[in-house]
Amino acid sequence: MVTLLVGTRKGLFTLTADAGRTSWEVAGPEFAGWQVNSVDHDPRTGTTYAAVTSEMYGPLIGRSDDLGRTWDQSSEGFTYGDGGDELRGAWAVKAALEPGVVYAGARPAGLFRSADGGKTWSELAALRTHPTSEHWSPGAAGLILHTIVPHPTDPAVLWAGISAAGVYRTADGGETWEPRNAGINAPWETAEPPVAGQCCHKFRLGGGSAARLFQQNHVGQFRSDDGGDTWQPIHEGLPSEFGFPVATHPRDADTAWFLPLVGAEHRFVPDGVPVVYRTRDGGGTYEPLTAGLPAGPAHLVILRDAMATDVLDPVGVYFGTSTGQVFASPDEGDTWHLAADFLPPVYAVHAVA
Amino acid sequence: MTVTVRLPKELRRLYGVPHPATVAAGTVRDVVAALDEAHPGVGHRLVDGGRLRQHIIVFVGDDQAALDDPVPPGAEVTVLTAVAGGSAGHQPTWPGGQGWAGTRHSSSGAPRPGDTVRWYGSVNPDPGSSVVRNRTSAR
Repeated sequence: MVTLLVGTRKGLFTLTADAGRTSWEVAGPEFAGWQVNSVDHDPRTGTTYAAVTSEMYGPLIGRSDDLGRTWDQSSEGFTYGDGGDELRGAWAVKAALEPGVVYAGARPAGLFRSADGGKTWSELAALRTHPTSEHWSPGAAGLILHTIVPHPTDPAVLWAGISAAGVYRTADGGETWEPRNAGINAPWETAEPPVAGQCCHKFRLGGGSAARLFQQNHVGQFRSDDGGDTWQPIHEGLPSEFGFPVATHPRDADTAWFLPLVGAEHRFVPDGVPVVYRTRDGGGTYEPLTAGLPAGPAHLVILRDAMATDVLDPVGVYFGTSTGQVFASPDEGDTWHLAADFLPPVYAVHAVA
Repeated sequence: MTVTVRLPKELRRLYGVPHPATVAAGTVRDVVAALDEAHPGVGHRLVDGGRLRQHIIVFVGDDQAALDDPVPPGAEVTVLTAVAGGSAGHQPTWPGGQGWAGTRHSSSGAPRPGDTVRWYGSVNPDPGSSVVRNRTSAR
């Protein structure tokens, strides 16, 4: 069975299908009325995590041991403390290498860690107080920490992505951080690429690799082969440098999927025709994938956390839209179908297989 | 020093808080702490950084209250939230700003004594029916 955890502006929905992944049953919402920006599931502990936000009541990290039927949302310690900034949003949650260790990203941008499966939290404050934070400026969603990528084998190594601040990496469990944005421009900062201030939208590890990263940035698509030390543009062959999500193959570090949008002015798919672009050579070339997707006009918007892959063979690829559709491909993007429609705006998709 | 507390429905549903809840408290801060003790996490929905969240407003009886204000025995404590009103782009503000809303509305449409009513701007259209009175300045 495959379960898609779909975070929306108005709650968390679950879509379930058998391994064929062609017919989906929709359930939910949990956290009805609350915005679910990020979801994750730790298959080792069976715990599901949701980064949930209310404009009125602030953010929380929900945890569930029954795939989202019941929740604990106590989120103790998910705060900047007395006298600190009010926490306004939860934008990322990610289970890490060591069972029970979970990270969460917040607005205003900061990183939290739990060692007890999300029951209690404490801030890794060295990131928020980093000397380069003077370069940080809020994007359209505010100054948010939206991407957390744990190293696949070293629990001390972690990447975090902030808009608009860029990619940061720690090699000591979060005590010290270094910006990792070399090779990526930030034209609003300076003519020369600064060390930080880049508008990273999303990045993910290539499958089976500890060093290859794919990034969708405000200014383009990029690849790193050295854990973020340097980045190379991989725009060639794509219709737009702008976009929000990127998805990667669970086992093949050369395969990734992008969903470019027309630049910052419009932020919908080019020409009103949704096309998923797949590379199997690390961004050297791309295949446009359209079979089963709307031929247009369909001015879809796909947000940063709304594209995901599962771990089956062939890999399932999924994306949700700001107009409430979820599209699914059971064959690595070759063919697509509509898995759900008429949901609230989709912010996050995570596949549990 | 028992007081009754009325929380917005969203919070009652998520944290399983009774309506009204009864807690022992001497200040608004005590109320939040007692609620959180009984329903872990709900306090953090109202208070962060040691302050009421930006869009949360608390009344003790008819009066808007700050965290350290006293809560007399038997008092009714009502928690409300801001709402956005007017044109797009406005952040919810209160009091005296874009307006704010209660969450305990009469099902018949007409307010009953004790109901919290919704209004916008600086004029309460039906001041006699509400447990709260419109205020145009912060205490």
